[in-house]
Amino acid sequence: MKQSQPFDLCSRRGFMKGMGTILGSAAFQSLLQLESISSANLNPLSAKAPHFPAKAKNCIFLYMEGAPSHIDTFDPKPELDKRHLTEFRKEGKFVAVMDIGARSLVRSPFKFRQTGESGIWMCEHFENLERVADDLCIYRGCQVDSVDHPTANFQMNTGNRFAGDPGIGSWVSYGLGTENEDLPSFVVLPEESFPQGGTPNWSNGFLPPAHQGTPLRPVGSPILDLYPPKSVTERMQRDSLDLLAEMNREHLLDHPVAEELQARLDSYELAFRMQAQVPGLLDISQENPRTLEAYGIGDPITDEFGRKCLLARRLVERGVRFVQVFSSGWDSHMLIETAHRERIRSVDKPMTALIEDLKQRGLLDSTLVVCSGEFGRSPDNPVKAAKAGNYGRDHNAKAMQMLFAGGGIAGGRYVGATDEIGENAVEVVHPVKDVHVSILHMLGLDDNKLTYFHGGRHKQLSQTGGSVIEELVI
Amino acid sequence: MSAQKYISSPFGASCLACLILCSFALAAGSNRLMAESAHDRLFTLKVKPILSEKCFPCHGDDPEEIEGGLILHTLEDMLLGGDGFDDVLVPGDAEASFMMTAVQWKDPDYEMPPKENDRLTQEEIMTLRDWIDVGAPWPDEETQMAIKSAEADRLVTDDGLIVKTSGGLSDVWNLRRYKPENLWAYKAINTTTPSFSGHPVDYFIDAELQSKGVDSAPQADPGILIRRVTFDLIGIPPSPEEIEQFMREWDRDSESAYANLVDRLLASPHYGERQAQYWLDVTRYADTSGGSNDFERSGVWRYRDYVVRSFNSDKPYDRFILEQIAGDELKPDDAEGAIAVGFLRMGPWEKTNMTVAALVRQQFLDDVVNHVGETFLAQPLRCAKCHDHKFDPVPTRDYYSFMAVFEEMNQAEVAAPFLPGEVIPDGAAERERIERELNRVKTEMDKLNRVRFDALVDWLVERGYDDFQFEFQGSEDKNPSKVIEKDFSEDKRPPKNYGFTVDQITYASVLNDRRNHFTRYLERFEPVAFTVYTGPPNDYFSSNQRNPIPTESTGLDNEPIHILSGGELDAPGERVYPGVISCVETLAGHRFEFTADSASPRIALARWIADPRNPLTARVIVNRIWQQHFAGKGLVSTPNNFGYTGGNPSHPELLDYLANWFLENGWSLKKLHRFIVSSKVYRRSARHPHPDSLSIADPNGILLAAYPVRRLHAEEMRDAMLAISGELNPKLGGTPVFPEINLEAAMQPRYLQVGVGPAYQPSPEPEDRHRRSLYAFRMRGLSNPFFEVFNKPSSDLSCERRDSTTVTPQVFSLLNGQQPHDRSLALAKRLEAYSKDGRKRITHAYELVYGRSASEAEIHRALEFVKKQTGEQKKNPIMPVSYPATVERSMVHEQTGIKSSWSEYLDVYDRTFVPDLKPWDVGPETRALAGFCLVLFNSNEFLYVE
Repeated sequence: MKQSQPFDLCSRRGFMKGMGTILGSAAFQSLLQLESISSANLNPLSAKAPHFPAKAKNCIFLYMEGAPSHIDTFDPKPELDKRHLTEFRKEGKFVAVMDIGARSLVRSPFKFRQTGESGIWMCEHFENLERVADDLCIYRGCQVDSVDHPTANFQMNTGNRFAGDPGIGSWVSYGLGTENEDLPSFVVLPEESFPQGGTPNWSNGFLPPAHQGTPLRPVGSPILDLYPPKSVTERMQRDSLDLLAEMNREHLLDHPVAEELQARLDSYELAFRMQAQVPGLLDISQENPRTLEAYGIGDPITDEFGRKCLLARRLVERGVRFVQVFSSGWDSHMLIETAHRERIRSVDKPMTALIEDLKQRGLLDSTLVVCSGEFGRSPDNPVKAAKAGNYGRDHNAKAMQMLFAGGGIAGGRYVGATDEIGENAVEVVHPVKDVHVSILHMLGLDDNKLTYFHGGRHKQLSQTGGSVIEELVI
Repeated sequence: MSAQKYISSPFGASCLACLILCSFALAAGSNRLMAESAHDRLFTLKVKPILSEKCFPCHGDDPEEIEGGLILHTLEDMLLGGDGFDDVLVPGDAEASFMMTAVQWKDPDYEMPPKENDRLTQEEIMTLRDWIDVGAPWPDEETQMAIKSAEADRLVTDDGLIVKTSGGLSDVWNLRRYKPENLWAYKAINTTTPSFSGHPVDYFIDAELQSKGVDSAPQADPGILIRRVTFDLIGIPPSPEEIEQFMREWDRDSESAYANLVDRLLASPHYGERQAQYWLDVTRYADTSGGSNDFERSGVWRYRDYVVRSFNSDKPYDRFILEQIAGDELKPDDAEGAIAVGFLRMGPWEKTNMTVAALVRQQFLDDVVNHVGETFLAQPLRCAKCHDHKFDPVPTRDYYSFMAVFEEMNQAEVAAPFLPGEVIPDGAAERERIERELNRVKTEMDKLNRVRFDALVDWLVERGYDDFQFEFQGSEDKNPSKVIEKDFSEDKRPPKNYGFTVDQITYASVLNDRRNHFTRYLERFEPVAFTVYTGPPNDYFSSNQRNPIPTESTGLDNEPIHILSGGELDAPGERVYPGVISCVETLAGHRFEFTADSASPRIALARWIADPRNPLTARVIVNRIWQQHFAGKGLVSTPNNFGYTGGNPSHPELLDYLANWFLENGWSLKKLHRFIVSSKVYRRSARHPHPDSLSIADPNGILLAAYPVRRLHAEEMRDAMLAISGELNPKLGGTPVFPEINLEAAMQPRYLQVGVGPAYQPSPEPEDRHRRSLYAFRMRGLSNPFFEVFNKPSSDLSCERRDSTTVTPQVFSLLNGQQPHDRSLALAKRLEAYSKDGRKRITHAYELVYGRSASEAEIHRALEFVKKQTGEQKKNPIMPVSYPATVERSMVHEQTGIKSSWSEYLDVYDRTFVPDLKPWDVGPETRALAGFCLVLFNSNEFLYVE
């Protein structure tokens, strides 16, 4: 086809420059708006089809930082009752300093009972969760590579023991985009004190920054600097934004990196809209008082985690793809009887409410709920603490449990098993990368196809590829 | 037809040639035999390696794990097919063979191999196709062996060359062939130059442009040029006076004006700061250790200053290398050497009770090997940790040999006297402050211990144990939660945490962390070097304490280095000894003097890297410097990776020319900078006369027909705002400072072992806070959110190039953040002091922020805006906001499971903090003018260099 016009007038930039001088600034502005709409089609967060059909569309990941004990929650070990205070040895080059010395096996301080029609075992302090026992799938075969918190957190959250790789939420955002482009696709609800390892736990790593986890902070401004200082009124800010837009538009004309500059221009308007949206998102006063009560909001024991669980539901309802909720303080090396009891009580009611609420709203099938720590806990403790009765449990990379609910996963069942004292996973044993592959699978994503070329290779969440845990994903 | 098909593939061509040759020599009956032998060669040399690497892992290697019931190990198995498929292979008919469908990913259910990384290349697919079409010959093992051994003798064929290395784990790898063009980085630097006139950079760049028929942009305006080269070389903008002077000189003689400008910038001490920023990006500098013991690394700031000093003195780059790898051994009596080798410990690392000692030692060594490889050689050696390198001729043996260089090396913090060139910390007030805080912590600990002591005495007395003898000892150095119990015999031991409330349990851990934090903080004032030594391990324990070089035998030995199968420490293979990347010698064609039994393997390694005949070293640094001047566009786009998976050079001749020039000029980095920025290419306008045809001819801007635009880096933005507002303190070097960061982020609890670290408090005096960003205390566990959002890299991974992405939170930081507001107010004050005339203030604002004067329309618009904002400000009286003297903080302690809070005293805010100018210190007019300045700081014209 022959060009009848000088080439650069037909190009987007040349076109705008030409039209701008002809039409005057009002019409020019509307053209720019059109342009920003068309550039929105290239938005990295636009919703994308999964690799294959799947029930789960969203994921809520309840992260119990510090590592809950499987032995004292859902994986009772009667054998430990029998062998309580008997000697237990760990030796060799690959034993952590904390595991050296005189040690003995210790029983769980908690009573267990079977719950639901399926008979899922739960410790006594899960007083509410039994209501949804038949929705839970408890996986007992997971193993990780690390016994210290920061590297284990990184591995559970990013697949890599060392910081710098994208979080699982970033991968899912990269694979599926979001249903609501006015909100981030990956939202993190951290504790006031961030988990060990800090923000790299939800970093976008080498993926485009739009996939970064956005923490909504529980205290103070939910997003840092969301609002201007008190000395600036909304009116002043609007006028400043208008002047800024005008100056930036002039600067944009005929500029070699016009598209990047345009993106900056657009980001100011999006920021202004976010300022308006976030308060509504966080305002739970419109919720039914019964709902608030169900999540334990108002009760000092459950209030904080309850608010986050409720917020997670509100985010998923609004199309946010991946929500990660943190609960900290699970690292019970000592005094597990009180420490774990308190931790369990703080999450029991909110977790239950979340699952029931999602179910009632018809969202449970499309929302995968995962609950996990960074590793499991040991069946033993130092002799001194065991004898004194103030024992806890140390770190255990070779046996841990994870809970799954919703997202089309069949509930009321166990997958895998640990040995009779809970020291090692012995059935359906898989490394954490297979869990990652399986979670992606539940969301319709194939880990081997969900790749990003960086640093000379196609990188993927599982690092080097893993396999779907077939028993888990049914 | 079939002959044509043969010719279309490279193998076919050689095979045809072979056929022709043979037909002369042999009887007609043997032709068939030879053809078969060619087919056998095709299978043995081309097809079998593909099958072995890409197919066998799931279809035969492990009889327990056969995917889809399909075994591909033998022709018979292949013909049998798998579950539901009997047409995996149809000999003679590739199109009918399902194998071809699978490897081409044509059936979404059978995309083989399933990993993106393993996907067959087009060439591999064609090889399989040809093999099937010729009838899928599968010679017996003996024939295969014979073919392979004959092939091993032919070093160079059309398929590439076999590279001799120290030896891979398998023959298949050892006999792998590499395309010569993918080995460019290992080959000797080309020293032949075509004859040309003019600047060599211009010659090579323009030759490429001409060959593509693309014309170049004209020279940039002098105003643009001074802003560009000043930001590039010293990282802060030129002042209006400097611009004015430059313009005057430019009018007289533009060449000498520009040359003088470049000389002035290279002589500026800020040049070293700017260069250091890049170097610290690559080396991952931080002031703390990372992990759950994120404490200050004593003396690490002296490494940062060492880097600045080295650049400012234009230390030859080869010396810079030697010092950072082996300075402690080369200059055993010079603190400089001990400081320089801090380089080897720049990565995050910790050792705790929770970790396995042997594993964290291995992690450290893995880090050192990759770090040295990446930094100086652009060889991310980690790729060869678990197996021979998949793409480059680097066997895993080289990885562990490289590691063996560091076998005897351990980490320590040692006494090292301050050097004449160093900024010796005076910091009397700061030290006094930290000592006071440390005492406050100890007093608090005493109080808590007293509580426990009394409770425990009562507990003992109640039980009738009266044979105890102890007195209250105070805190000494003990954590309150740990003290006392151990003084009791086991049968008389009170319950854990007896006498403490839930809150006191938490507070005890918090105090313990505070004590460790302040103790390590105080070490920054001491003459300590963060360094390494050669010798037996010191059993380096934790980053919460200083670790010395052992003076007497520890009874420990350094573990010998073995090749680790799969990179796993529990699978040691052959013992290895110090070595380097072996293919360099083969490919560069020079025998280096590196021997495994060298008295100091680290010195030997450093000399090997800094050898002018090492083809990688000069190319790597030249590329890093080049990219600084062209908006992050390197001649090689992957400055940390010159291997196959990196990029090939866009202008290979130029790269070699520069590398050679650099070596001939004594490894001088200043000369190299001057050489590059004096080219016409560097001085080109960013605005091309035909941007659209250019964007088609060169969509990625590689040809450099116009100057590539870039956004300021995070630190440049902050430093520029300080410079423009007149607040920047240009002082060089010294202990780190604490600029203000977002207050909420500063107060947020930051996890440290069991407890949390103290809140981040800024330096009390504005002149300390307003130092250049290079000197801001860099914590791995808490980043300045402003920097983070503008793409400052984390200190975890080496950063080869800054990104500049656009995300919404940047708006919040730059438009709403306290720092840009404070800078704007200071600038408004500066403008008011400059002139009483509103017009002149606006003009000067443009000069300061953009480096240009304002147009009449711009002045008018600005004045209107300020007028309107003044009216609005007057309607909105503001009240002073005071800084908090305490902050409520909370955490869930692992021994209680319950959230507890405590009030933390903020001594700086309460006692010594001198705030910046605040809105309530000034009238509405100043605030309105500041509002305008804030818009300028948010504008693209300020944020971009062109």
